[in-house]
Formats: sequence, C-alpha cells, structure tokens
Amino acid sequence: MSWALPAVDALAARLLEDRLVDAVLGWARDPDLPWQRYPHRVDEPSRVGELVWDPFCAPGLAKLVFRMTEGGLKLGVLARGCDALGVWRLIHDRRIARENVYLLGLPCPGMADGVRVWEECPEAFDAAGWEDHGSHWVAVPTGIRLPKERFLLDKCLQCQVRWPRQCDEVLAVQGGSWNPFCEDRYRQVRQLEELPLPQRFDFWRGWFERCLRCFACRQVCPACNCESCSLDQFEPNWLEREVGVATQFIFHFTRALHVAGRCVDCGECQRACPVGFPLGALNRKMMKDMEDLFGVREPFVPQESEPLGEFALDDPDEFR
Amino acid sequence: MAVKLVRGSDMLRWLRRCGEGRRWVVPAKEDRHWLFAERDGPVVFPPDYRNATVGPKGWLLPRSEPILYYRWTGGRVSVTPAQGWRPQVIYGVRPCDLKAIALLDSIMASEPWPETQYLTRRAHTVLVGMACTAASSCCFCTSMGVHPAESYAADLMIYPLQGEEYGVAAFSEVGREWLAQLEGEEADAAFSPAVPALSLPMPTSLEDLPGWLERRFDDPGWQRLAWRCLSCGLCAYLCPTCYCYGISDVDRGGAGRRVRWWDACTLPDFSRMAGGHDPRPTTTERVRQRIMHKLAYHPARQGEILCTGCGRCIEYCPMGIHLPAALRLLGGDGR
Amino acid sequence: MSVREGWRPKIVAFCCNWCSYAGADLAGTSRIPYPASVRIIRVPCSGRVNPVFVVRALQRGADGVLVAGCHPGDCHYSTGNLYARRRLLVTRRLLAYMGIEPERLRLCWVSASEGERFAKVIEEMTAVLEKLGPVQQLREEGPP
Repeated sequence: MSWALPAVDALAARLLEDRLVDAVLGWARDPDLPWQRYPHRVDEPSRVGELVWDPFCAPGLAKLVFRMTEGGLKLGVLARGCDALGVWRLIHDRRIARENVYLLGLPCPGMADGVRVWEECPEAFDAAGWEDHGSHWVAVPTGIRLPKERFLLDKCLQCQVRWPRQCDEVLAVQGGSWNPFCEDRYRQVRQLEELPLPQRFDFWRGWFERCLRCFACRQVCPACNCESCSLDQFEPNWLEREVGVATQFIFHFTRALHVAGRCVDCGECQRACPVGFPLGALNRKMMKDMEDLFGVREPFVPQESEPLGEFALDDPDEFR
Repeated sequence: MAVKLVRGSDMLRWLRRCGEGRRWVVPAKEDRHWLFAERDGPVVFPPDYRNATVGPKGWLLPRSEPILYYRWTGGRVSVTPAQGWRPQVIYGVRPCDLKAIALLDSIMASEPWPETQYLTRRAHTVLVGMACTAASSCCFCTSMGVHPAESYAADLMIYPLQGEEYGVAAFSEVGREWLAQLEGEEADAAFSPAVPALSLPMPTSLEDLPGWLERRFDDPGWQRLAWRCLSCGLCAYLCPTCYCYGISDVDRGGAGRRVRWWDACTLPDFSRMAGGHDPRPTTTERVRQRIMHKLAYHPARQGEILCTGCGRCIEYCPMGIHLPAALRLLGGDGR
Repeated sequence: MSVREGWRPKIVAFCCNWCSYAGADLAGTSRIPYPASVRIIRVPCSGRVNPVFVVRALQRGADGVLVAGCHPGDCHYSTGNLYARRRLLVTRRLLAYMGIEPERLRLCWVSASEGERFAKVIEEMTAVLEKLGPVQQLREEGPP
C-alpha cells in the first residue's frame, strides 16, 4: 500500500463529514518554500486536499492542540508517534480533555531535513507522493531515492514510536517499518557522564554562550504547558532577565528538572533551537535517570502518573 | 566599480595589520551553525558560507548588558555608569545586515534620547562588509529594496571575484585610511551579485505597503497566520533590525546593577500590564504587531522599511510563520 | 581563582516546619555548638523544595544547600518527604551532569528531637564545603 495522500484525505473528510471532529490538524505545503510544511487546520471536508503527508512534515503538532481545544472544540489530529505522545502528555497533565481529541495515527517513515534536501536534490520535490523503503524515501512517480542516513532529522534517529501508540485509529498507510539509526538514545548522555566534572561544566558553558534564551525550546515543548512559567515570574524573580552563565544555567537546569520524567522525546526543542543547543543531552539525561534510579522502562511514554509524581518506600538514597 | 584588487591571503594580512589592537568579530562555525564570534582575525569563507544564523547585532546591542552600577555606602548612593565596549572590527557582514545596522544607527541616534551605550560601541566599531555571491535559502533583500552588493553602514566593502581575488572599496574616513595602507591601484572590476533566494509576493510598492497593511488591520488573514505561533522570541532575536529591550534592576542588597536585555514583542507577557490588562492578549495581535512595526508603522513614521530581507525569520521559525505567508494571507487567496 | 581571605562556607538549609526546623531549634536551645555557616529557611515540608530554589541559592552566594525533612513515614503531610527524596536525587544528579559538585546538595532526615543530629549534619557539610571551596561556576560579574 503506498503512501499516497488520498488515504489521509479520505479519512479526514470522513471524520469531518460524520461530525466526529470539528476540525482536522495536519500539515500543509508552504507555497513559498518548497521544502517546508507547516501546521495546518482544515474545518471542511472539501478542503482536506490542503493537507499533505510526506517526509518533510517536520513540525510537531502536540503543542498546538493545547490552545485549539479550548471552548470544547473536537479536534482530529494527524499524529505521528511523537505527536501522539505529545498529545497524551497534555491529556495526562490535565491540560486538554481526552474527549476533545481524535488521534489519527500515521506510521511514520521518519522526517527529512528539508533545507538540506532542497540544497542537494531539489528535483526530489517534484513528487506526487512518497514511499517508505526502509533505508530510503522514494519519490513517486520519479523514483528519486533519498537515503535516510544522510537526511533524517536528528529527532528521528532513535525513534521508538514509528508505529504511533495510543491513537484512536491508525491509518493503513506505508511507513514505520524501518530500524532506528541509533539504538542508544543515551549515547551523548553517556559521553558527557564520562567527562571529568570541570570539563562537563566547560561543555555546558560553551553552549550557554550560544544560547539566546529565545524560549523556543520551552514554547514548542508539550511538557512545558504551565499557564504561567515560574521562570517568567518577577515576584519572586527566580530567573533574572540578565543573560550570563549563571542565569543560563538556571534556565536550562530548571527546565530540565521541571520536565524530568515528563518529556516525550519528540525532539521539537532541539529542532526549534536556532543555535543547535544540545537539549537532547539534557532531557535524555533525565530519562536515563528515570530508568536507572526508578526502573521506569520507557520514560518517554506518558503515564497516568509520572515518575516524579510517585515514590517508592525503597527509593535509592545517594546522599550518604 | 572602482576597487583595489588583492589576493585572499594578502587581504587577510592587510586587514589584520589595520585592525591591530582591536577585537575581531567574525563569522565562525560552531557545530552546524555559523555565528558571529570573537576570533584572532579575519578569515576566508568556505564557498558554502552564506550568512550567520545570528547576526552581528549582539556586538553592538548585547543580549544583555549592565547600564549602571549602584552602591549604598554610609547613607549615600554612588552610581557608576557601565563601560563595556572595546574597539572592534566586525568582519564579513552581509549587505542585509549592513543595512540593518544603518537602520539601527538612526533609531539609536534619535533625539531627544540617543542610546549612548550603543552609539559609543558603534563609534568604536569598524565594519568590513562582504558582498553576496550566492543567496542563502530564504533571503529576499531585493524585495525590501536592499541590494546584495551595497555597502550601507560598512566602512570597507569586500567583493569576492574570480579565484582567490577580491576587490575592496572604502566608504568612510576610517575605510579610506585602511584602504590607503593596501598596496595597489584602483581598477575597474565587474562583480556579479547574488540573486536573492526569494522574491516576495508583494501586493503593492514598498511605498504603498504601510497604507495597504493598515487598511487590513482587522483582516482575518492575521489570525490564519498567527494561530500556529507559539510565542517564543526567536524571530525577534534573530532579526537584525529588532531592537526592543527591557530594563530591570538586579539588586544584591546594598548594591546592584541596572541591566538592559533583549525583549521580544512576540513573548506572551510583553504587553501585559499591572492589573492584568493586555492589549495584545493572543498571538494574532502580537504577530500582527511585529509585522506591522516592520512594514507599516516604522516606514510611516521614519520613512524606511524595517526589514532588510535577511530571511532568518523564514528559515528558523519552527512553525513556518513568515513574511511571504503574511502577505499572501492578507492578499486574500484564502489559504 | 584564589579563595577570598577569610572565606567561610555558607549553607542554605531548607528545614521543614514540623521536624527539622524544630530539631534545629532544639540544637540551639540545648546549646549544642555547630559552625555558624547555616542560614535556615523554614518550609512547610521538604516536598515544598523546588529545584529552582537549590540552584538559585547557589547563584546567590550559598556554597551548599541542605534540605532537611522528616524521616520517611513521619512526614506531617504523610508523603511529602518521599517525593522530595526522588526529586532531589534527580536534582543532585543533574547538578553533577552540568558540572557542579553534587556534594553541594544534601538531603537528610532530622526529627524534632534530633538536635544533636542537626548539629552533626551541619558540621559534616561545612567540612565538605571547606574542601570544595566556594561555588565558582555561577559567580556573577561584579562591578568593575
């Protein structure tokens, strides 16, 4: 079965026609930038053709769901594995109601770095559709093959949710049958853990100097869904607006801890960061600690109750 | 155009000599991104270098800087102005960023309150521009009336020619002083500037754009564009012409400092006031405000478009919100 | 970077109202000597302590942070200290991962009757911090 859009369109149209949902959230082609897709909302069955599903649908949709279901709107969400986990994060955080979302699972072939493909192989974008051939995305009907090893987005390298979980329906389209390119999501974490302490600080200090504190990482994150972020408070002023090593440390340290045990590893933070800050190395450290300390098997899968919202009487004590 | 011709290695040597004693700020690659960073001296760029992700704005208007220090001693307050500038050379600045600096210069110099910290730093900065031979993925300078080989605020301009050769021209007194130290005669050289990556779907001339936009202030297109904005500050911080800042005091009990830091009108609490009122409560108002400031309010008041087409907001917005999209949505094709 | 003349470690201690604060108070009324390195902040429960307090204290001049709570099983709010244990464990690990000595954060249990114990903890922690020296990583830029 090919990856063609019609399956997605048909399902979206059916949902809207049957009034199962009030709107469908997915992606649309950017008319000005051939390599870019952006989140798009469709309210009528006749407009489902505006939606697109191909290896360039990079943006995460979960955080958008947060505001969209206000007022009781029922939203159908085209959801890759990462989107579905992000939506469940919001559901378990009681920020959206379960009955307001209808998750349309899309087995995902992995997403490509659109700008790089545009620079190296622009003719790839003359495709009517795409097929997932495991190690490659293949354009239909041109047959152009793009190797995933070269173009896969960082956030997709170690994906464990290529078949989306916890969805209302999973579309019968091709995708999701490839093996992750990196089996160890904690590889960078381990590398850092092995450095001596002063070198670890130097590593982070270098990145603190690059970080603009634009808050893109926080704003795109489905786990960062507080009505009002503690780090924005002026009274008390936990985090001064002044940007320096100390305040950068406080921002990243605090955000990592407030998200600890709740991060779904969607990688949106790192994708959004304009300077390439290794946010994955922070958030995955937290995930690794959930596994090592508390025996959580898949810390990126949202649960009814999160590791730091629980305790065990025999929790380890490293303070001795 | 009349330039002095020079080979790459000679050019670097000459520049280094002229810039002796100054801090050198040049585009440098960190991991996968180019940024303007402090280095030993100027460099020759690799052929795939286009522009830095973060422009040189932070070297003239830092991300955050103290304005003054205060201290209570024996019942009296002493105030010391901050002094955080060093003579510097910013090298390799593209025309879009050079034009942006020219715009910031006139904004910061405006009476009755010129921004002295910026102006002091600026007065001690030599700008060496580099004309564009290839476009980055999203730039659109010509749509904004900016040319990829113009010098704008530059003291010196470098034009990459064939092979290892460069043409150099001076556009200020400092530039001419430096150029006089470069051996060689002026010659005529042909330079083919890059064609920008994007040509914006401009609905009208730049002159008429403010009015066109103001008539569409209540257009539903704004909401269709802005609904997917997540209210971060990325576009404002990467933008070479954005200059909004906040000021707050960092008090350390008996002493402290007053600090200026970049703010962004896209952030959720930018216009929130005591009492809770907020004239820009949703992303619709904030995105509209940012775009209209650039293309309508500033041009109407100061006669210049506040966008130079560098393309960073287009390239880096995680949700694909950008100027071409705005113009399309307001032009009413219904997307 | 040399240590300032006459530097002494400063500990910010978050003490829970029901147990450890009373324990600290008992150390005082019993006239048990301990280093004058600690500044106590009373919280309702050790579970109140947000990791941002820890790093904020270190930024603002503390060389170490102590969180003292009731013994597991004795929490006035029944389980607050158990959440604190998990949370501060992860906090300490992240401190180390980001390049700050993990010994600067300590969690301990001190009951209302354990004045001696409180004094001993402060003594131990002061000795540890004396060896580590002041926090260098989060130093602020001072005036010129």
